[in-house]
Amino acid sequence: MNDPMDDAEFEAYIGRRSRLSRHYQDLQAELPPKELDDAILSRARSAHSLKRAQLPDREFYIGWMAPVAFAATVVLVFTVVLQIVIRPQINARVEKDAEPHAAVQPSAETNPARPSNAIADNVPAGKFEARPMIERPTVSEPTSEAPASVALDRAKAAAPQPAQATRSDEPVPAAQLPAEAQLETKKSEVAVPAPAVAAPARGALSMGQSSNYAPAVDADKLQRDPKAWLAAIERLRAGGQTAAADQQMKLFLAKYPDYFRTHPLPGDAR
Amino acid sequence: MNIGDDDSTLMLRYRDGDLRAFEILYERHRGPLYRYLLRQCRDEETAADLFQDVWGRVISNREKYEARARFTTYLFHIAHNCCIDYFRRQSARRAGLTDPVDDWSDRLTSPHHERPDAELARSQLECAFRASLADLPAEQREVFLLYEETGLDLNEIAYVTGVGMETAKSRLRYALNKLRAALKNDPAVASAEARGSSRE
Repeated sequence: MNDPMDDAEFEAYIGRRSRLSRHYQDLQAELPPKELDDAILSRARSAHSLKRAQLPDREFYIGWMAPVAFAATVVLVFTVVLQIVIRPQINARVEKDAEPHAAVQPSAETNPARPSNAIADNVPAGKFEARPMIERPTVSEPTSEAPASVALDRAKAAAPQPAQATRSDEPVPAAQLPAEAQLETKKSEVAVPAPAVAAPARGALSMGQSSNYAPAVDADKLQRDPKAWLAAIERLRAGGQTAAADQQMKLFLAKYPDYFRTHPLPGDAR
Repeated sequence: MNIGDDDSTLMLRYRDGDLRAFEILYERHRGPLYRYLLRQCRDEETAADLFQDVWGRVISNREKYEARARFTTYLFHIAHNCCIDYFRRQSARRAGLTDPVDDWSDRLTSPHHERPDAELARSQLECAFRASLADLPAEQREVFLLYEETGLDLNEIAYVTGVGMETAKSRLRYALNKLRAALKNDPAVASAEARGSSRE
């Protein structure tokens, strides 16, 4: 058994003073072949020149990396927000809008004269049935015959004319009107002040005069008589209830759009 | 160019495009690295391949190089990894290898009658030493070669080989013990040393 190397001998070796080190250094010092040297040096050279050739491209990409990454992140975040937050809201709104449409569909089936109208589709059908009379709020001037008459004519053309409704100055029951005209009625209901909405048919002429509220039958009778209706409007105007008078005039014009054409006012030069 | 530049500085200069710096660096380290690889894997062809592989990695990773340690540590750490990869690839075949000591003896020594006495004694000593070195376990041989070829201290050798300092020191001690014992028991070495001491 060989004696192990003691610490002093090991320290001598560490200090490069050992015979073993000398023996090793005396060994033939092999070197890599010349071809190997050339291959490695040429590789180092080519890598260096390759780097030079690629440098502008790399700097270009590095320069654009941050803005492109930022833009991509923004697009991604926007898409995610759109899909998660906004899209459900839009869908919910569409579904909400589609619900009244579904409610209108049966009445459209029962009324074949009802024309297809996107706006009318959004209006609940039940409300029309509760309104016995037509309002034409789109007529702004008493002498104007354009919007109200055109809409009414269109409605008449679209709907089969009942036999008893041959005259334009006669009142038409709401149930017999096409959906478009009913829609106009609905629109005016939204636009007019609350008292007019509350009772357009029954006692509409006595708005603002709560003590003079008449039964619905009397109001219908009054509205069937244009002269009496105009007189009532004049009374309202004379009583200082200009807004109510204007409202009633609009309703009058909606119901009798051609009235002033056939019955010119006394002061009308036409 | 100042040849006395630190190796790390030379490497940094090569990283920045100074090809001459690489040539100096290569010239300094080509011998020790080649011998380390050759004596570790004991095959010239394999040593040449590994040598190319090591320098190829140095070249391709030059952009990432940072002078955090001595360049020698960096270089031989790569070499150590290349050797490990090689040994793993060859592990299946290594069991069937012939005795490497015989290979070295055949390759490195000429017939005795062709040499004068001094040369004969020297070659005998060299042959015995190579045989003893080749007979060492790979880990012990590696520590010894790193210590002799690179001039790294034990801490750096421990870093290169991926072990603790005490482990590296222990491996070196084992390697020295075995080499010393082998040389002491070898009659060729004894006679060569006797001749050498009588000449002195």
